Amino acid sequence: MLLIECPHCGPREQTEFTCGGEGHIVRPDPATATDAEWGHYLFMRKNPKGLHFERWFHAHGCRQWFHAARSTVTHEIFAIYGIDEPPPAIDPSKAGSQ
Amino acid sequence: MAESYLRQSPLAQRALDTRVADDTSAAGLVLSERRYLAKINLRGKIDSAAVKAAVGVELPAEPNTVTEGNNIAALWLGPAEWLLVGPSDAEKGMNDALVEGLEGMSAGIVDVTEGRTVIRVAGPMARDVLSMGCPLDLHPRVFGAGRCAQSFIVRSTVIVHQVDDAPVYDIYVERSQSDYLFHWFETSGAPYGVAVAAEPETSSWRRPPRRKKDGEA
Amino acid sequence: MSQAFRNGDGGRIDRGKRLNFTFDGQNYDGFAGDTLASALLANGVRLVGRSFKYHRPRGIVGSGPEEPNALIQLGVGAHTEPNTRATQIALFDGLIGESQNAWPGVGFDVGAINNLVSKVIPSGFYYKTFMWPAAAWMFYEKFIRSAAGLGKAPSEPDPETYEKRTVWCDVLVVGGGPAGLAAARAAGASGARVILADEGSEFGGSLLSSRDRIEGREGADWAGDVIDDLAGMAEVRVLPRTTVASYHDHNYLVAVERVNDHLPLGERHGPRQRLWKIRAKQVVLATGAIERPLVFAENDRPGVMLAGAVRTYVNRYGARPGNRAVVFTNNDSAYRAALDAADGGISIAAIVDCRANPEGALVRLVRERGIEIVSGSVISGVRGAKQVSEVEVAALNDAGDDVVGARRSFDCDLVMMSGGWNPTVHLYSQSGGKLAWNQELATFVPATAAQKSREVGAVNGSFSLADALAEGTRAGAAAARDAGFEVEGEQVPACEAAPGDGVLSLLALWDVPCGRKGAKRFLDFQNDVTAADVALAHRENYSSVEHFKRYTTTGMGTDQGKTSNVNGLAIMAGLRGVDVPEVGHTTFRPFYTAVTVGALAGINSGPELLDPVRKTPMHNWHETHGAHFEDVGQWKRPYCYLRPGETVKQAVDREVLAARTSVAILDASTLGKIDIQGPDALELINRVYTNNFATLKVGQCRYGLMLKDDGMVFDDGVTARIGENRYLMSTTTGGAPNVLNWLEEWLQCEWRDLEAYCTSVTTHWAAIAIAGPNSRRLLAELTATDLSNEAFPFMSWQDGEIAGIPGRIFRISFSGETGFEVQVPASYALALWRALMTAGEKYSITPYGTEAMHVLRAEKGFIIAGQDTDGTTTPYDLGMGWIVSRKKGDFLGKRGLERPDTLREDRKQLVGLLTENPNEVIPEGAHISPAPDSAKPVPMEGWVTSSYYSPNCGRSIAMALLRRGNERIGETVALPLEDKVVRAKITKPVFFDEEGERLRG
Ligand SMILES: [Zn+2]
Repeated sequence: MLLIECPHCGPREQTEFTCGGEGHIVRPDPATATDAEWGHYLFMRKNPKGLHFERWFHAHGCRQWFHAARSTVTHEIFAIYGIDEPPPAIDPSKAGSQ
Repeated sequence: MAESYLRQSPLAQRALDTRVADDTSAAGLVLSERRYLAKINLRGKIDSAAVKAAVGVELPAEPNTVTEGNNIAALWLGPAEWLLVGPSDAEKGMNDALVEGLEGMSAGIVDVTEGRTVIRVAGPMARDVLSMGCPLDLHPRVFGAGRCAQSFIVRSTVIVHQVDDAPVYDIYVERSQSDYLFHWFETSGAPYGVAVAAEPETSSWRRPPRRKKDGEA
Repeated sequence: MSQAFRNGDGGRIDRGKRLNFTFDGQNYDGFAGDTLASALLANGVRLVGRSFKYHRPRGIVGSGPEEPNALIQLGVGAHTEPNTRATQIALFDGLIGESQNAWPGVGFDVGAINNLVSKVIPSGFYYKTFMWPAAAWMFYEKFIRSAAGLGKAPSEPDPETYEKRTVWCDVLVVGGGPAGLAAARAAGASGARVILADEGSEFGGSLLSSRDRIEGREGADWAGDVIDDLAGMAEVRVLPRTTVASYHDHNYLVAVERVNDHLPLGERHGPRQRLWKIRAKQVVLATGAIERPLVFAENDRPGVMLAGAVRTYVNRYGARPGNRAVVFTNNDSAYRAALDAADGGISIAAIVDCRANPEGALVRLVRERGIEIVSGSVISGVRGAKQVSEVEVAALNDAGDDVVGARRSFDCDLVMMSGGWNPTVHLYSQSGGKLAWNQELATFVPATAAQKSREVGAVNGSFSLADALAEGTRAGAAAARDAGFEVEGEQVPACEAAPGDGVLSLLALWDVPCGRKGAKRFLDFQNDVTAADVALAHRENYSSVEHFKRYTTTGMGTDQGKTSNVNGLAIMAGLRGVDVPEVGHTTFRPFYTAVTVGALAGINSGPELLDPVRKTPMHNWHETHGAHFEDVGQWKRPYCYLRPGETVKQAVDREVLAARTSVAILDASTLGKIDIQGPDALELINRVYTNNFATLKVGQCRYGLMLKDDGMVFDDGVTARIGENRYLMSTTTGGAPNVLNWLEEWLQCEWRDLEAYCTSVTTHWAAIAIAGPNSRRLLAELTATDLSNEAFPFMSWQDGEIAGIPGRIFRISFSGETGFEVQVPASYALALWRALMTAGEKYSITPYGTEAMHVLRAEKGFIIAGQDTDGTTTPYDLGMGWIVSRKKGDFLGKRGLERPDTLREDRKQLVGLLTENPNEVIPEGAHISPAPDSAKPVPMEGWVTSSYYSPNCGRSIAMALLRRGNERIGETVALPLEDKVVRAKITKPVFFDEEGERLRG
């Protein structure tokens, strides 16, 4: 079970959070997006082995969303950053990426 | 305001007032219900000074802490969310004062008095019993009097507010789950002795004198 | 002959405290401080069970968690527990134990016939024989289980209580031997929050079995002093009888404390066991090492024991597992055990050492004592059916792969074996730490830690006492420092260890030759796996580590292969002609030793505490008025109210009719309610509903449908405009938290510029729905508010006082009847409910439950999101295109509805179904088939989502999602059920008052 450092509340047990899956998914402009682009936005996820930028919700806590950079191999969390922030530079090899 | 005899707390069925112990000193866990505390949820871009002027308490700046003033406790719930807790029957006055005092601010002011009740948890085993269901680190180095946190106990979402270092905690629980949680406390504390204490007294809340606005005579 | 094998003095037992116990129906006594195993040995009991597959007689092998044989059914009745290890059961007065695998008794066993026919039960037998035909497995399994006996689960409910706790600490030290004690003391002195856990009842680990001295005291006394020191440190928690059973991500470990298991039933107070969920900043693993057996012919005879275990029984318990021993070893550590055994009154017949020229301090000491050392030799056979009586010794050839020359025999009743030591890397490995093969120790040792952990002492391959103390001290101090504490000049305790301490000089000998065919050489005692089984697995190409393990079942018993794994891997490596690391090792999985289900469950069991029960303010009224409850999420909701003598169907029909003929009330408090405020409240609402809310005026309500961005229906409900920038959104009962989280997610992640604030008021407001032609008349008696159609039109709301209680009145209806919903602060809701019941007496007011509510809405064709939709249903599929705005800007799901797939004409669409037989109620979930009589699997084209008997229609009604349903109104479809095919006509999904006159009346 992970220990997640909420940017507001500090370290809390994973059971207080829900994972919102892959982060930084851009919602295309619905007025101009093609069917393929819209389908990609709705359904396609990277599901990488290794470094993963994802978003988490402190559901049983301050109820805030934030981003985490986590290794899906080791579960190491490399960074926690704001929901409006871009992903930080992290060497993917450190996260067991292939 | 409706007649108070029409009112029933969510733990009424447990008839706690008939179980109040004269002496709770032998019990590891001492429980009571704090009924009908006024609760106003505040969200938004809120000026703490305006809150202070309106109801008499400043908002806590530090996450997961509580400020107190004018018989109101202001609990930090999130980066722009607070719970103002006052004595029973103060909710209308607090709500009106806030609506008036925060006029023009981007805010949500909601009376949530009835949504939760408060179980006061005290006694020498209080911290240990809480740790049986709550994942927070409640060690005094981390969590002492004046701190609060939203978390859960077993599977009930709660706000934990440590009121005193003794330790004494106020547990805010969804009213619909309060009967379950009270039963959980009694069962968890049973090996260490559980006693019911009288409901803690609260003082009344008075709206602070209104300050004149700029340009007002 | 009471305790004939107990020495007169020595050991850490209290000879003044005699304890009586029963084993296999026989009374014995032992002393306080004994384990069941040490007490049995002191009483001369050698035979403690039968083996799993061959039912061979078995005795005690080890002295701790590694014990493969002495599995005990402990206690009787509801308190009985199977698969406990005699070596870890603290003896108490009145203990009752039974050997497990041995009906009708350990002495004679019908199952032992298996031993004679063992050639037909080779490795892989279970897979080859019992897996085909599949149906036969049911038969075989029953036979195997009763014959083999895995112990008996209690048949009565567990009368014990269990407790779970979360605890956070700076440093967790696992293992209370010299390394762990040193670590805990160094870390504790810094003021850090330290937890020290050890599975034993007494701290000291190997010190309890040795005669080494530390800081001028006996090791065990030093351990006691350290524990006293730790007890004086406010932030240190010392947990004896506590097994750290698993090591998870981010330094999360689970431990089980056996609070009461060591006490007689009458003396137990509080929980039996306590599960600790530990979150540690730093971990120090001082988990020790487990001795390896040697794999030689007939090494499973009772009386063949691990050398270190014999040393423990002699030194710690003053118990002699035998009177005359032969030692068989490939390393120096057994010499030390031999010396201690000799000092404890066991005569050592010989030390058989496979090494040609053993030398070193311990070897010299043994020689000085005049004990014969038979070097370059092995035990090639063991005789004695129920206890060792004689061993046969032979010399190894130069290659070490066969025996040569004349055999010698030694009379003995005990064999002490040592094949070296395996670090107890289970927790380390669970943490993700990588292992490396250490050639000198011939075992796996920790290499690269994956988490914030440090390994010290024997688990690290450091077998000397001085190294253990030094590593422990340094690791404890470093862990405290890394956790943010200052440590001043930590002191490594000085020790006086015996000569040769920690030196093994080991010669690996994995598969001990015996010069005979068919002699069984066991590597896994508990699962009866022999060296020949490994060879069979290799011949049949099950030679990869994971295959080999499963094929032979090595390490798959309750001991998880603590003594067998490395031997198995090494024998396989030898057969494959590769080094052991090339074979690799299997994954170490939680738990280290078995954890009771009770400890995992804690008190969270039974209907009261398994899951939170949510109750409305009127719950107790419902309970006392015949409510038959159903679970809706965590909520308890009345399904219907049963009158005396009524069936559920009669009650539901009565309630449905009451709502259409007079007046009925429903506790609707569970519906989700979200208060939305802020300058952008309207914009938020417009973006999450499909229809336009811009035209909604203060005082009005509107039904809205909410879609996910793929265009599929997510939730629905009525939203009321409360003020200029304030709305009250209602959701389904089950959807309430999801919708709130959904709004929060969009506001925080996507629409960060919107200033709208959502707050749940679900349980602040309790709600009562009042439905039926008399609803207005009834409510008017309790409120001054003008309820006339003109003053209070359909889909509007007003503040009002009802029965003296200030609240809100909504003119909305889910029943299709004239109706109102009244919301009041929750603690007044019961009073309001009672007032309505009293005032409604003259109208025969009827409380109704969720089933009547469902029937009423289905008669009208109102959908329930989540019942008539399933995440693949669009508003168009529901025939609700009218609610999708074409004028307003973007909203969630808008673009999704334009995808080609959502526009397909052959989608499943909501229709009504009327069965040919009007009394036939189709089961919900029943499928519709175009060819119900065709071969299975029958083709399907849709399914029933809602189905009821409608007393108002006088017949059954149903709703279904059916492929191209809209085009097929009037057709008849078939629904194949288990025992028949039901036919029904497709209709529009409205069955009653299609024009809605009653609603607006
Ligand atoms: Zn948080």
